Amino acid sequence: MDSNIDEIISVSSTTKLGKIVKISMSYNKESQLIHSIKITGDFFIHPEEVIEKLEHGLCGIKLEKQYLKNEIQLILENSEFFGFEIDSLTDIILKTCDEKK
Amino acid sequence: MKFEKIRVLETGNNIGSLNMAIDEFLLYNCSDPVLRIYGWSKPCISIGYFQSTDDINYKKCLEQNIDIVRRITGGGAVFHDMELTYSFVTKNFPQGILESYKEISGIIIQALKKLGLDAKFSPLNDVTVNGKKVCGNAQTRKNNTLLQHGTILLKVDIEKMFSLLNVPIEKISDKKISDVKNRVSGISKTFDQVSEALKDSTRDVFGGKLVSYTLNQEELKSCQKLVDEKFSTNNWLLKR
Repeated sequence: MDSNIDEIISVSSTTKLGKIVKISMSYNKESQLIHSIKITGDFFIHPEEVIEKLEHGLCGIKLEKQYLKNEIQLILENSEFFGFEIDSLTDIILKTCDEKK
Repeated sequence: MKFEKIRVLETGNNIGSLNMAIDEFLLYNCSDPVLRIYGWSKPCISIGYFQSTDDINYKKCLEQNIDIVRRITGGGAVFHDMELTYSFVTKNFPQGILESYKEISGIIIQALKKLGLDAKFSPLNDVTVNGKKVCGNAQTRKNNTLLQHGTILLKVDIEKMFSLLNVPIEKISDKKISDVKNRVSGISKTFDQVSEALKDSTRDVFGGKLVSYTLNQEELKSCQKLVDEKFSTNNWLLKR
């Protein structure tokens, strides 16, 4: 394993819409790129399979607000989702690495 | 939504994996709208499509012989015990998610009103009586078909329910837990009372004729195949 890849870290947050969003991810400490990510919780996304596309699409994305937000926006463009917003999901992902620092 | 004919399928009590398999079977194999009414042959926790099994107390569920199944719909973990569960499947539905929840939940609200309860729709997907949640619902859309399923709580063992669910760390404050516990309630009616009221309300709200039917051997075989190949597998349960 690349020594710069952090171990899997997890953070759970309640969005202002009352839903739980949990992030488990690993990322490269040096480049700040996401290596793997799992997004779980009691929210809704239609169609449901988009979550896998989102998790896949976020791999390799830099842990910076604008990069993350743009990618999430792009992948969820044709989906409907309830329980979180693009901004809150972005912030929870960023909070996950803050917890580590 | 108005329909000429709605098929009514009463499948009795089944284990969690078969209950979820029948719902998925209906989603891909219904031409007419279907109202399915069902129960659980043993207590079961269903987790939402996006949830991790970490959200439930796996060890306690095993100790207490409680089934666990992953749903094809999003939302939170539900402890299925003393309740009536329904599903409504249709190819004719409003495209808006909120609107479709509201319309289909209309049959629940009307049924509860028939039983003397002041039920209200609580967006996005709940029905409340006197401010307490008595019914939670979830939807998926596949194959140009909408499936909404939900539970109408008859009685609730709040302490047991919460002992089986892992409440997230940030919710662990006495006040927050007690708030959540106080938000849920059973309606203290029997399964048969709710079942009859639900059929009547479906006729009233959606119009048309209710036609009772059962799954034939071939259809049951397809459902069993879904149990064996999907809903009872660790691949599906531990998917997320």
